[in-house]
Amino acid sequence: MKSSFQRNNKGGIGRLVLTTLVFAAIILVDLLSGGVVRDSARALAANIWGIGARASAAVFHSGTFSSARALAEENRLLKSEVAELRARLAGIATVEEDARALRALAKLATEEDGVGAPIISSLFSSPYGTLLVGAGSDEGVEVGDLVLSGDGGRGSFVVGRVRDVGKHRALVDYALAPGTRFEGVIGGATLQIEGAGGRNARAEAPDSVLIESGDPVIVSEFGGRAVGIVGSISHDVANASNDIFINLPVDLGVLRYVYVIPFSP
Amino acid sequence: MSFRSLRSARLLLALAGIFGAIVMPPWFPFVAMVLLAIMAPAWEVLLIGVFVDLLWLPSIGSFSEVPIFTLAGVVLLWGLEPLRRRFLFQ
Repeated sequence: MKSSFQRNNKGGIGRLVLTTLVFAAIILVDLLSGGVVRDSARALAANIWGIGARASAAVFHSGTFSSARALAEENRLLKSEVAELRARLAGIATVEEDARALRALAKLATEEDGVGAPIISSLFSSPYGTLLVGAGSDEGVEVGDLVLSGDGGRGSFVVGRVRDVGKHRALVDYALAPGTRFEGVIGGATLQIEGAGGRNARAEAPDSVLIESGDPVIVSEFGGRAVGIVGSISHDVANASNDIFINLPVDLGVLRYVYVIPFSP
Repeated sequence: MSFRSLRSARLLLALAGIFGAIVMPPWFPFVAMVLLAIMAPAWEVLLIGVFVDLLWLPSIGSFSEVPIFTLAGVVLLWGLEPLRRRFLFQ
């Protein structure tokens, strides 16, 4: 045991220096090339995410994990013919979901000039509150553009803002990421909004401001668009104020497409 | 732990860290980095750290953004070296 570790440690410091220099060089190359390395890293991530998303859609829509007992019953009664039908239904369900998301975007596209883009990354993996969308400079996306959810009947909401653009991908700052702060108007009062991650944000309002559940949260730095609605209000007696809990009325778990519109503040 | 099993564990942790950076919450690749750094002076620690920042940070080398995972990788790799020498190699 000792000898194997000793073998690993031969020239350990020298290797550490070399490793550090190599990765510093990679970062330098990325900077000098205008983001070639990070665009490649994002392409790799988008491909892996896409494969995973397609696989999980196929598995979960097929009903494989509905329950072991139900599956056993199903297998006994329906056999291969029904399994095939289920596979077809899984495909249809996926297409239906896509169609619903695209219909929501199409409604938005009649009102605004922009680009529809798929979300090609996890919404919860970034330590910096960012996500990847599948449209970039070649599709006309620019840094600063606004990213909107489709209009699913309750209007569209700002999901975030484009921070970095590759050829066919863009990195988006999620508006309600933990730690983000911006001013928003709720019930006619301008309040400091703080992102809390997921679909949530919070604000504190004086007692005198009349705010009701369902009020939209309008943000001027996003061109007067809504980032969410008031979910619940909790009265803080000690401070004579109300804690406002805001949420984005869009299910991020199923959000697959967004609409990117040009925006300059 | 033999040299071969150490190498296998490093490879598995490195792959878990890279895939975790794409599909798992941020703590996952960080845990992989910590385990790798404790186990050996592994260059994979920096690989995962730089990969996370290349992937999710708008610009890794700009002064306006702090590449937390890259810095964490450097700190883990260099900072744990005395610990590794003291407890693992003597």
